[in-house]
Amino acid sequence: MTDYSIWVLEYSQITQMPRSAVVYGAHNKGTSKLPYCYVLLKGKGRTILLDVGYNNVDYGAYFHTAFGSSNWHGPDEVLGECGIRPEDVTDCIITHAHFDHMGGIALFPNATFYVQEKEITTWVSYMALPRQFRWLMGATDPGDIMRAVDLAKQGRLVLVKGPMEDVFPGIDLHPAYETHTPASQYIVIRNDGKRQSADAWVFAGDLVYQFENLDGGTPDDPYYVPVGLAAGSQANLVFTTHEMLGRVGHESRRVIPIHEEGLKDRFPSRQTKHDLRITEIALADGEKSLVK
Amino acid sequence: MRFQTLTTAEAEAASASALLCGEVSPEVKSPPDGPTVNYVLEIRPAFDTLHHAGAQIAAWFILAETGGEAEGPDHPLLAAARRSFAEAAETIRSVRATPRAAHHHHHLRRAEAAIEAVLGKLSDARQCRDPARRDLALAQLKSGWREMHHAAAALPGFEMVQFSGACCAVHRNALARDN
Repeated sequence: MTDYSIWVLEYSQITQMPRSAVVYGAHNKGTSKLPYCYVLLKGKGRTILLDVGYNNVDYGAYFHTAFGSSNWHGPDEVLGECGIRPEDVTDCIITHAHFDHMGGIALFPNATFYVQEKEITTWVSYMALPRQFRWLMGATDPGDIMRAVDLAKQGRLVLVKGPMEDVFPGIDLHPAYETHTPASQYIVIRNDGKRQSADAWVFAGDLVYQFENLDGGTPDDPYYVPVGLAAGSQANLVFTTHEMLGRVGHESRRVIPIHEEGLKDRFPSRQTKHDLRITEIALADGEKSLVK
Repeated sequence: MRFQTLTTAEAEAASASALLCGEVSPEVKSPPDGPTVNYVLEIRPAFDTLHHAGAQIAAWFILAETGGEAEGPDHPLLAAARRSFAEAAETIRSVRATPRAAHHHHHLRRAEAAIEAVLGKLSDARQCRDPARRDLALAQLKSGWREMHHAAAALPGFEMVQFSGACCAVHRNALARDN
């Protein structure tokens, strides 16, 4: 029995991301495509997003010009390919407070948002520091704080304190302190609903960007390589990678890095009319495929 | 360095230019003249400091709305925001904009006024506790934030999100080298 359908949905991309940004220490190794994605879960009567992308209205044009991002499409088009409207989304789990994961919160008017409390409070404490410390604010958008205030006033913001089992049936949240950000979280979906699951998936946020972070590019003799950006420590990222793999019996294909272009080679996928990729990770009982 | 005061005609031109708000305006796409470069260099720290003040106030709001410790005007975030604002406002009020920078400056002044008004609405403990008062202040803060977005879009060199520490910043360097 499979409880949730799971799709990774591309909403934008950078075509030439330096490898050194993706894999720590990979200097002078060229560039590769970095897709920007969020994850759609359907099941148990809920429609859930893992992260919400960024909102092109606020800084998309700048981002496009400065960094070469392209082919951004809003959730009405991206989710529309799955027969979902943004208004239908019931819940959004935010892995961390970077603009490309949290910036789209205003686009889902009926959803409740779940983020680690420490991610927000640490961010807030950084804001009280003098400007010499502004590196700590990198890739965060204070505008998202204002949007979060609106969510809180409407009772749609849940600040999660540490690990949380069964935030929804079979879905667990695990914080990863002082890693990519002060309190990133990864999501475990036990898709058979069992505590000792034989069908678990880990969604890593930016704790790993691509497969190479999981195996060092040598799957026959794997080793963990942290992502190129850590506000905390690379060591914590390495230990968190081991922890995530442990939750899926060290079956690395069950840790899903959403920025990995190669997902299409491991799971059924298709390109939409907007040339965005839909990757189908799992289908709940009775659900129709979106890629065949 | 100081620049000439705007003439009436220049002010009208700036006002017309402001109608382009909400998008990256044509000014930002062409290189600025020398005096405008100097304006950018002089005003940018103040822009960043005002941006920081707005972020500090927003951070106070999230504490206030989620039940955190956010009692009154002496809270460290609001106190820090007042200091940031005072530092930024002094420069913004004293620097003269070039004609090319007038559109930017118009919005920066509006942002400064909005944030000053927000701080005024949160100036004593009773006001900080009053939900209606907080709602008004939050609306004004959002208005000021929009003005800052418009200002950032009106001249090159101003960022609303610090990308310098982000992984994508590496990409920007690569683009600059390639081009």
